Amino acid sequence: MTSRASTPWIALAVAAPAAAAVFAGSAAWAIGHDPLAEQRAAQAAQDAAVAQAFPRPATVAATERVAELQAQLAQLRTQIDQLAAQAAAVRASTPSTSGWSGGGSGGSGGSSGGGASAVAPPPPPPASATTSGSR
Amino acid sequence: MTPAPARHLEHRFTAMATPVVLRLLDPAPAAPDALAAAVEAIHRVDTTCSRFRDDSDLSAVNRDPGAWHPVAPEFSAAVATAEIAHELTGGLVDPRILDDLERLGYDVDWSLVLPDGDAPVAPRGVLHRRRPPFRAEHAPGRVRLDGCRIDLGGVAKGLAVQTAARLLAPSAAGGLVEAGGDLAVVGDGPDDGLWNVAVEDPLARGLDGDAVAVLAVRDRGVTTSSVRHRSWRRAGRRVHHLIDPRTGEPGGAGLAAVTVVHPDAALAEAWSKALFLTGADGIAGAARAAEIAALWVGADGALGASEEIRPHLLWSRDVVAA
Repeated sequence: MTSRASTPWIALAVAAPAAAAVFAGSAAWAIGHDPLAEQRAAQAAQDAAVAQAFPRPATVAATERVAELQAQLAQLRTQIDQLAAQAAAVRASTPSTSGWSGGGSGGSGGSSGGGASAVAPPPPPPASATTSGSR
Repeated sequence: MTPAPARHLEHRFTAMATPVVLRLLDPAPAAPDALAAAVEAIHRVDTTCSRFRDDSDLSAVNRDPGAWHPVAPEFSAAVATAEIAHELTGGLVDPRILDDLERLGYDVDWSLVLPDGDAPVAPRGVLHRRRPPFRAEHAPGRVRLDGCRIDLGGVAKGLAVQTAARLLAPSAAGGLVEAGGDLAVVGDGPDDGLWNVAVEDPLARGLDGDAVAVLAVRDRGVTTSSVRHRSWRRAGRRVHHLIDPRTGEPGGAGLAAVTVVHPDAALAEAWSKALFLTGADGIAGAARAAEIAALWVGADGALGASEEIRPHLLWSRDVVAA
């Protein structure tokens, strides 16, 4: 996925120097006509460099780094799962755990749908959960 | 004859400053133990990765980010996940945006952020876009950052959700973990074996919006990056928590929300943020290139989607553009 993900960034890296070249021509013209052109040219040159460098294209080193981190995560998962189970056991040995609920309905939760006008789309099917962004 | 309804077990609590729901379908006898472990796992991620707790690993590390620190495995995992997200998204996900979050007013727990503060916004300091890639050093039980303070908010929530789902998986036919709109599902769901997940309308008024789409998923994380809930005003302008590391300013021009479906909830969270930051003009190309299952809502309300999410798209309010 990493190499595929890099495609637009690589395209950007190719396009940015061309844009910078166009800019350089424009800037050379502008410096002769505008007292602030030099300052603006410097800022634009910096922006062009940033556009070229960011987002960064994926590299072999980055791909290797991801693989290394994923291996590290696999080891950490074992520790995390053990610690969670230990903490739960400790808590279970102390009185009072509340907040559990159970029942016979495994069905979906509700989700309100579109409006009631004549051209309204059909209502959404019921959903088990809603994704909304951080609350 | 109506089939007998499946049994379920559910637990609701608050962690990471957000409501959390754990739900198991057809739980096995060991399910209560699994639920309890999942709850503890979420609390442990919260207590180690919160920047609003003085005693968290994150607070200790941020006090001296260039030094080695003893840390819990949950914190190491969150930092490693942040590094992976940073690499995969070409740097668009960068935990070093903390200074900018604070500069814009998100310097206290979200419940305490003033919705309409008039305090001036300080000018940007270092241009983060010039920074080298985010890298941390890891040793058993220890971590050292590159000298910059970090925020692990989104990554930590995704990691917590994914960890809890993994712990629930063996103890029931299916399970769901939801934390503040980010979620992970494992195994069979109640909707023909799948889990139907409504995507909230980010432009709706009121606390809970209608759905713009319903996704049907199994063994997936589903997260949304949206400016609907965590946005506020500072010095006369609207700002939000999704900071573009290239500029140090709130990003995502032209977008209201991005939802991603991914096998890993933490990476779903990273990709929804990264795609949001590409803005309305860049998101279709970026999602296509990265082959990410994404659905987005423009600031004008228009829906867009990548090809990869269409198999999950059970219903949508409007026609979805490519």
